[in-house]
Amino acid sequence: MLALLLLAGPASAQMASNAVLTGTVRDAQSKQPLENVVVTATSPALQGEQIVVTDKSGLYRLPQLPPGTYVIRFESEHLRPGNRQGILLPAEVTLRVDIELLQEAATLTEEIAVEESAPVIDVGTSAVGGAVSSEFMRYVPVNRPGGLGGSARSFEAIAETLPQANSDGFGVAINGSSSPENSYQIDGVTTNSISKNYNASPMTTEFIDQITVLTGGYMPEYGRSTGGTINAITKSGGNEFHGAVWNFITPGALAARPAVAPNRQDSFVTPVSEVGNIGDFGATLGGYILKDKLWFFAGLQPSYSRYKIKGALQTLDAKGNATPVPNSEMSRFADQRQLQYIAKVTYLVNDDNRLALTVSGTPRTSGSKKSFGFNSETEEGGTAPFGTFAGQFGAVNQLVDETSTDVTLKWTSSWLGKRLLFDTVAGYHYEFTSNLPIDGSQIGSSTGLMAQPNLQMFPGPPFRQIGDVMDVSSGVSAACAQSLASGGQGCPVANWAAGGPGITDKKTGNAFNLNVTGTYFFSALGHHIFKAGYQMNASRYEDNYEFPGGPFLLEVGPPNIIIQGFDFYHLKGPDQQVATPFIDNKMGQLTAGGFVQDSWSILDVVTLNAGLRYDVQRLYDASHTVLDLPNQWSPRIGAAWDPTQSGRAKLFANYALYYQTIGLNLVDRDLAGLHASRQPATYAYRNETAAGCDPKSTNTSGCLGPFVPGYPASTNPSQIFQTYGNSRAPVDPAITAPSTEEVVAGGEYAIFRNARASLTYTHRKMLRTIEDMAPDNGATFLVGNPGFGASGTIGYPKATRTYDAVTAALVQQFSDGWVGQASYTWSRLYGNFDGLINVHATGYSQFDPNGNSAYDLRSFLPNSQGLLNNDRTHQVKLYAAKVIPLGQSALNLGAGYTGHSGTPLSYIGYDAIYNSPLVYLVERGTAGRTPWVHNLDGHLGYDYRFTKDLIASFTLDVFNIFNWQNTIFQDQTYTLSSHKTLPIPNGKPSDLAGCNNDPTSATCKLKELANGPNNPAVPYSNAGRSSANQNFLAPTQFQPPREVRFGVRLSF
Amino acid sequence: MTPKTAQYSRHVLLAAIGLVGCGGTAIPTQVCNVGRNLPYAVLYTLKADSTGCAAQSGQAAALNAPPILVDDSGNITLNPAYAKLNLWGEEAYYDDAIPTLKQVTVRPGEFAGIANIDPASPPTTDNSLAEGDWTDFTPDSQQLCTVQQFQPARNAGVVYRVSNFKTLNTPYSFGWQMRADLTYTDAAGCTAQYDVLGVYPAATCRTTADCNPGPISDNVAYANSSNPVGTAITGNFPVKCINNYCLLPAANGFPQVGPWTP
Repeated sequence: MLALLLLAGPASAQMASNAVLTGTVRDAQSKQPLENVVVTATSPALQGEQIVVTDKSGLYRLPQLPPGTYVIRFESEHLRPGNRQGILLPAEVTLRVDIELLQEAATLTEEIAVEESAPVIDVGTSAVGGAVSSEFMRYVPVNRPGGLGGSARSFEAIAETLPQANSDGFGVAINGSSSPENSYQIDGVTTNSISKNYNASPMTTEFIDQITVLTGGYMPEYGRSTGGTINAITKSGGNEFHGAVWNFITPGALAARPAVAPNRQDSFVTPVSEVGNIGDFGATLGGYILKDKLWFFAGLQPSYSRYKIKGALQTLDAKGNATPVPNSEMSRFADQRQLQYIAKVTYLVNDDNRLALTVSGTPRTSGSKKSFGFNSETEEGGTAPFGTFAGQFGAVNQLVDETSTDVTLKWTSSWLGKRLLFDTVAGYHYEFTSNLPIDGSQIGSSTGLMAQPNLQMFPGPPFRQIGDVMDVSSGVSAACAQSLASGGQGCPVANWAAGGPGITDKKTGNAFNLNVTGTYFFSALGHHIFKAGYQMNASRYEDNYEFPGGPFLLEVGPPNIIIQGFDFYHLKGPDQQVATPFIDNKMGQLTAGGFVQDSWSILDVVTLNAGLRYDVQRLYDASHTVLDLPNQWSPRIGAAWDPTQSGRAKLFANYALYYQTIGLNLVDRDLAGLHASRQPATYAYRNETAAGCDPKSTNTSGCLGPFVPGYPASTNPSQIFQTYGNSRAPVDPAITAPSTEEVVAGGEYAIFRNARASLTYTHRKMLRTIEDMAPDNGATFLVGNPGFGASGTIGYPKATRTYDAVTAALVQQFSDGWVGQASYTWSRLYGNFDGLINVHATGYSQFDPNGNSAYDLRSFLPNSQGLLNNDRTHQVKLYAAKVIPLGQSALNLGAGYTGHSGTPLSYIGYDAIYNSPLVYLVERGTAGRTPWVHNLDGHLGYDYRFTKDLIASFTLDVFNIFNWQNTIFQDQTYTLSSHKTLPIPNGKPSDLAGCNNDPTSATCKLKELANGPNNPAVPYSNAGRSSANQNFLAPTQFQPPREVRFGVRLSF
Repeated sequence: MTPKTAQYSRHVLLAAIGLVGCGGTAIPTQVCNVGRNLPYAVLYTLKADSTGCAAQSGQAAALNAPPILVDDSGNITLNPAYAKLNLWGEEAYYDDAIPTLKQVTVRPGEFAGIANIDPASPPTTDNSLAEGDWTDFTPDSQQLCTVQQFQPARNAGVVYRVSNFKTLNTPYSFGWQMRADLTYTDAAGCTAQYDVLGVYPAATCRTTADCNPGPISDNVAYANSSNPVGTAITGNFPVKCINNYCLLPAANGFPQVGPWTP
């Protein structure tokens, strides 16, 4: 057992094939329960068959079934055999199949009506969620190309089809949480990134049989998530050989052009990412080595994404109106290549023991000297990669490598006539990412771009002109000069990057996982399903990183002053700097816990689900425990009542308390090393050399002149180097793990064959989270629960997030050629905590889970309560597909419509310390909303059958058929960086009336910080363009344009 | 670094602990620290038993007077004969590569003004810094960290001898209250002994209300220079606005909030 314990990793929840068929067998005439009826389940998904007998109450229970289509036979002496066919059993669901059998002796004149509708409702659960079948994935146009895993058609995006789920760029956010709060699993083993919790193994749906998503009300066996649980169940072999080869391609020639966001501040037109070509090709083969004994499944899928990032130049007149500069177009490709593989064997040791071993991986690489790279941790998954032309290519681009490998061993066993079950999963997860300079220079190297600091040049206004930063054609020069000559701004450059890239890193993680669940099925005042389990994961992570050239540089002149920022340098004393060339942080974590739960079917009328889960998480640096989060007690209690007593309806309610697992990124940033970590940063002001920093030169280290003493504070005993952040941040001793409580209630009713309607109410309230806070405004960070413990004592507000939603849904499982799903959700998401992703004013997302900037500085706290970024008042989702047989062949048609309200907008000002737009000038969410977003996708497929077993499929998916390009984000930056504005206490939008257009406004209550020794607050000075952001509320992101995907598949 | 095998053995052990429901062993959450980057606002109070020329030059006569003067309008000032105000910059320095290192450095504001730093090449050693070592890495049971003795800081005949230096290290005070014994020698060679009481960060004020930690002071004009929004002084520190600085009143001793328990 010790050996198994050593092989354990960050998984949380449950086994894949734990679906259950249960029901009662009765005499058709007397209605008495029948004992000792032999019940046999068979399915193409099942090795052999599963046999149980009914107990005294006529009840049978067939556990540990893989998802699939089942036939159940009922046989007993003196009874006519019965059977139920075509039962669609999704993963992790318990379906009730009751039957009444006739006595052999019964005469034919006695007509007995035996109800024959298939069950669709899991009447025993008080959880909310859904399963997405392979038919749904195949016939409904989902998983549009693009973004994280987009070329590979990764599984986690499928969860977005469920009500109360929407993409947040890094995954699918569920019930008002953020996507990294989900538990992602493949075959029951967690694939969350060890550092940042996103799905680090974006497996293609081609390898996946079914995806189950639990959005709420889940039992104690599922834990370590304050979002939902998304589990992909991989395909298995069978008693026949099946395989497929396929090719999907999304040609750029047929993709519509993306909309261009306006830019009224800069000569660089906002770049767009056009689809070049996105495609994948691959093959799978499944079958048997020994029939009913040893099955195998294998798959391979290379894929590629090519985008064309396009930019151009414009001139600006005095008011910021833009005119395109002819012949100024610029473009570069962004390329990513990836490989997906899987190999799986399933071995039926005997009727009571099964083993499955799966190995899968998703290596991917992007970026080159000529093309942009893109990266899961920094690029937003739901959108195309982005790039900029406002800089030297080596300063704005990196080589990106990422990989993940997962190995899973699963043992399913049953005892005591299937009344006692054990499910054991051991998993290993490996992940690696690197971001390096495009010239290939390595971390620790003192040559090439690794020796040149990244220099961000954004002095002004007045700004540099385009000709000052890059070589331009004579035509461009002439256009810029003409604009200047006519009183315009010419071709101003508000931001330019030179030298090496920003941070470079190599990150490696290993995780081991062990889950053991025992299930005991017994009778005592009804039937009980008692489960107890143990779940453990241990991971280690190493982050090797460096800022090229030592510091990063910000040019803040005139008069040509550079802020030289050193991340992770220390001050030995005031002005006594100690360099650390690069950082090699090592860390680890252990999460261990267990649960007990009972699902008690009281007289088979009401099912009471109750249980308790306990977890402890401990996080380490290389040699110390740095954060201890014990005592995560998660009670769950719910009930489900089937008023029809036939599996056709249920009413349910559930209360749950959930805890979030902390990713190691928090240790990396705030807690690694007793003393050395990414923080502290030190910075100093330096003059440029007489020649200044040349925007055209990659030699950024050579332009630094003397330090500027006494700048900015001459009274400070630290005259040259300022510090920002401490060494290892103190941890509040009162800290507890982030938790959220939830109440769900609702009802389901089977309205048609294989269709159910439901109405669900969800309330979620975050009780507390973990964040880093700098109560001394940036000098020292504390890791704690905002508003509790030490931070509460010194006046920090509580972190809050409250979600209320009502969903009406209709789900048609695949039958009679139909599959469909329709839902409407009303919801409200309110508070001051967006989650593990912090969306900033222009749409840039900071992704430092539990260490974002939201609570860093006191100036970020006023007015921060309001409608949160992920608030969507209305959400409509409609999906349907129909398979139409045409002789031996078939046509399939599918469509998907989604529509939702826009995101709330705020008035956000620049902060003086972070020099970033992070201050809520007035109440959050009061600057309106982005418009509604509509999207319609279509699918057309034709299956041509050569022989009984050989089918060629041709598919056409059109995403965003009408090429709606609604705004999905708007610039919320109210003022420019040259004006450091302060929050207005209890501010309302009316307090900003006139601020940006009336220099003498009496209604404008906005204040800013004047330059000077004590930064006195003065009324906001409206000096026309120099203070107002001309791009305020201008669109920054649009819906992705129309794309067309062709597919061809040969399957047998 | 702990070998991997040892690490995993510990994981296994802890996993078992996790299952039986404890695992909350006490771990140090805090290393000894001082407020950094921004200076402390520091109040010197002449010791009653101070010897030397400062005491002889008339200040002794004032020893019976209160250190703080309050006028009829409630304005608070220091009794200049008895107490004076300064800014100290401090750093605590650790290095994982030197496991025994636990250094504290102080630069009095008086030496900041001298600015003897070559802007072209900042020094690696500087006599204007007083250097000492913490007695331990972590706070004692009173949540205090101590430096027994500093190497003196010297500049142009002025000498600071700092000893018995203590900081308050709680989850909301990362060394942000500080006291020390100071023997001060001025350029003329006169020496006196002071009790030194500091609060971090230094913030200016007109009235005690201006010492609001934020997030929004009624009077941000008097927020400290790097903290535009409020003073950022820990909210439960009983600071008073004295001589236009937010200070801990000397008469109230040290520390001015008790040990903190969650």
